Amino acid sequence: MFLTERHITPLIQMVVGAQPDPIGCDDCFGRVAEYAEFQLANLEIPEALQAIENHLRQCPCCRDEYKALLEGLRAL
Amino acid sequence: MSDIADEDWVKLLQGPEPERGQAIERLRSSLLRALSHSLPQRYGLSFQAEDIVQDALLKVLTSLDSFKGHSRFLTWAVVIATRVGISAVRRKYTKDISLDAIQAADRLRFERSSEARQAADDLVDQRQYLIDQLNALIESSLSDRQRLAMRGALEGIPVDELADRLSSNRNAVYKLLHDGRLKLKAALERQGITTEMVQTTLGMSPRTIGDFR
Repeated sequence: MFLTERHITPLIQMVVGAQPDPIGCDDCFGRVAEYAEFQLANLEIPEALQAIENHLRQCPCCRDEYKALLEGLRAL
Repeated sequence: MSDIADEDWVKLLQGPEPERGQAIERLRSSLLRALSHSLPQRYGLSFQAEDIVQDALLKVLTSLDSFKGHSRFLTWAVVIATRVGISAVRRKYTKDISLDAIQAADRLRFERSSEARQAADDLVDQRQYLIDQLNALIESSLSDRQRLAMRGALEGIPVDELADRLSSNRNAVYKLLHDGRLKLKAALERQGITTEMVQTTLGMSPRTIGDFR
């Protein structure tokens, strides 16, 4: 089962967009509530939470959950 | 959000009845409201928040000891509930995608295209050159497990689902995949293949680059 034309763009996106990410999904999960509160309040993200921002850029799974989280929090 | 103070939530939820039951009902109602707004449109699937709110509530209640007060209580609870909900949606979304199908020897290799293209010959040549380079680098730079994880990701299998199917955990599979991405990126750069060249050859906009989904 070869990769086909439809895979090329996503693969290139995965590769070219890769940046170092010192944390993983677990660390992100542990601190994303704080991060979301800063973002919802339109406050500047503190340096201590910038690793969360970076991880969300790198990890589609966490980013997807984060988008859902914001939608849920806005409904409360 | 709620008229229960953050410092009181855990005490109430772990305290005596009837206050505990009332707090649980308040929490359930908040989680249902949040999930009703965040889940139904995910992955193009019809998904009812009512179907998952009880599991989400139980997960929050069994995780109370891990609430450290770094955020509002309900923010923390919705984080947990969202993960429970999204995981359920993803399981539904990926249930028909078989990992077996991507475990063949060619699982992460582009087939050399013989399709006629409506493009200038030199661009076709460049595109084929890029694909050949990618094939060679995928073969030389990645481990079998990285190729498998990357193939799964390209088929749209989320990392947490991949982790289940690989008998691993989400953090480890993310790291595996991410290290593979960085290795391939470094290998491409060593070959002198720049982002600009990729953009031109594949007709990708700068905005598209890096927007990995």
